[in-house]
Amino acid sequence: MKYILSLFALATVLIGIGCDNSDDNGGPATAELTLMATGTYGDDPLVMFERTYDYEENMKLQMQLLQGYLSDIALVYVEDGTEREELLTDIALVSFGDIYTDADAEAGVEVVKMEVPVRNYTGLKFGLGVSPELNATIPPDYELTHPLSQNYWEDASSYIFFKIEGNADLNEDGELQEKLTYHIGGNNNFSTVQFNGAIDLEQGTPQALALNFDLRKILIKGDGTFWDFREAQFAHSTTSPAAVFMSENFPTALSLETR
Amino acid sequence: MLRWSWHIFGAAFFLLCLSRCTADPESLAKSIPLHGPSHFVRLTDAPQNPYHPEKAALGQILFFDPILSKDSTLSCGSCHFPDRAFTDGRAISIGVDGQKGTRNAPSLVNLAWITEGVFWDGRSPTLEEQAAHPIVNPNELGSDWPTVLDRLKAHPEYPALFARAFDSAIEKEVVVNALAHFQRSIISSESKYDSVMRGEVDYTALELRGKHIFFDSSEDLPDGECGHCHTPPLFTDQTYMNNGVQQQEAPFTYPDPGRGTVTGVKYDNGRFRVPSLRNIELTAPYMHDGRFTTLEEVVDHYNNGGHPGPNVDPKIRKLHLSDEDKAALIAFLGTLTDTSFVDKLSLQKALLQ
Repeated sequence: MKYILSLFALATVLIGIGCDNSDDNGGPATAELTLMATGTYGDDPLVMFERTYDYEENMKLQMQLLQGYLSDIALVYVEDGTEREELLTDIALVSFGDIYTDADAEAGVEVVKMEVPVRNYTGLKFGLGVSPELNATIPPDYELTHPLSQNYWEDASSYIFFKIEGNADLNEDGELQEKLTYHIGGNNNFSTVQFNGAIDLEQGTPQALALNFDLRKILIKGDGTFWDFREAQFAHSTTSPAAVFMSENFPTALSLETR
Repeated sequence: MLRWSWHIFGAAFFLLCLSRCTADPESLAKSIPLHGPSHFVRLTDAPQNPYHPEKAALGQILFFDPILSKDSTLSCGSCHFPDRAFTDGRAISIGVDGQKGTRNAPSLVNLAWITEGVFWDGRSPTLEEQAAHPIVNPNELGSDWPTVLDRLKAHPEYPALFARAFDSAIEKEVVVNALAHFQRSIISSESKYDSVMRGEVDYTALELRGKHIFFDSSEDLPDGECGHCHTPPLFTDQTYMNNGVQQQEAPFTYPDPGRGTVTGVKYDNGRFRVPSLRNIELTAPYMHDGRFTTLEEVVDHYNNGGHPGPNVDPKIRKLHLSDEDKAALIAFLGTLTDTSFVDKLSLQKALLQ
């Protein structure tokens, strides 16, 4: 009996030692974090094809593709008074090209999903476009399925950061026959965004964040200045007025919420 | 019989030579990764079917062997000629019994880089899955797997060739694996365009003008929009696109639904796989149904903006190219011809036949 009690006590001690803030392998506790991306046009879900959106000066817009790169996506936290980052991924390609219904739009597309150390994070930070460091690479540097194995602009020596493609009615004839194609790239059109706010992760509790792209805000500034499709329906340039205008708007066209 | 003996001797000798070229005899049997050109995206091996040159060599023998067809009259090579960059010069290919197929025979070049499906509609996710189809398609080789396997097993040489390449008896999976590896090994990367990119040669003035139009890279020339979908170095971005070549019967409804048949998504109707433009000079006629017999017709199609439709790609629009622009564009397309690739594969075919 004495030995049984001793063994029980020993087991209790060992169990107690084992119940620290770590996973089964002895490493830091983690939680699953999913970052989704959603698209809207103002208050409306952004869907491709059959949904028509009102634009400025009685123009109308119908989308076929909105896609873009996000770089160095990281959770931000403070440690010893210093802001640090927990990198989620160095590059992700977000595409809304297969979003056909409101339900699809509401659900969004997965950007990254992974186990991250449990912390009280203070924000999310990322680059809009391909970071200058990665933009200096080329597709042959990567394997077939890597996000940077495609979308390269040889003549511009840059990846195509964003693609905005669709049809428009520019002359109020009710026909969406005019084509719109805007491709944006170049280090000059790269920017970083940081959303500050508590992102508290608990071990074993999955957390999801949703990064929303508001296409309307990409095309129309807060002061009402808008990109007039009639000026240029196509832009494939790092310096075109359309590219610069839209890339300036991207940071303010994004919002982040927890799910 | 004597002719067959020479063929098999040649094939066996070919395989033997390949084996002598490898560094490690122990690895001969099964896996030596396929490496592509340094200016192409890096390849990854298919874990379920690791590459080896001997497997590809066996696949090449099978590819050109009419033993795979119902009446032993046609082979894969009957619709995929090396000197036409593995097309056949027909709008729609003809199979056994004179059966007409449904689409144009696509070029089988640089398929090792395929990630988004094979065939015009992408219905096969891998080359291994694709290789099985033509053998049993009544409009192509029209055979059946029991017959094919029986013939191969009864052949005086194939059992030994399969054993050597795959360490396996002859089964359907191994046959398609061999064919897939041969297709994987068909790599074209040495055109004038590639030489120019390496700084070895220069474009002519006309070719350079065409190149700028192709890539929208000159403010003084019209944009051809070509390079957005036909992206180098493969000259395809592997997406599925509606390029306005078909007239819609109703919104999102086309005579050939293409990709839409595979995905079941109506917005994919009328979309087809963006083909590579490498060796395009050799692969007439053009489009999924071979409707255009010349590159001039193709350029005119794009210059005219194609047929309208709600899911026609926004990059398909009137281009306002002059006759000189069109000639320049075609001249640039000519720089994508890889003569060395054509010569090499044609010679290999000749050795096997």
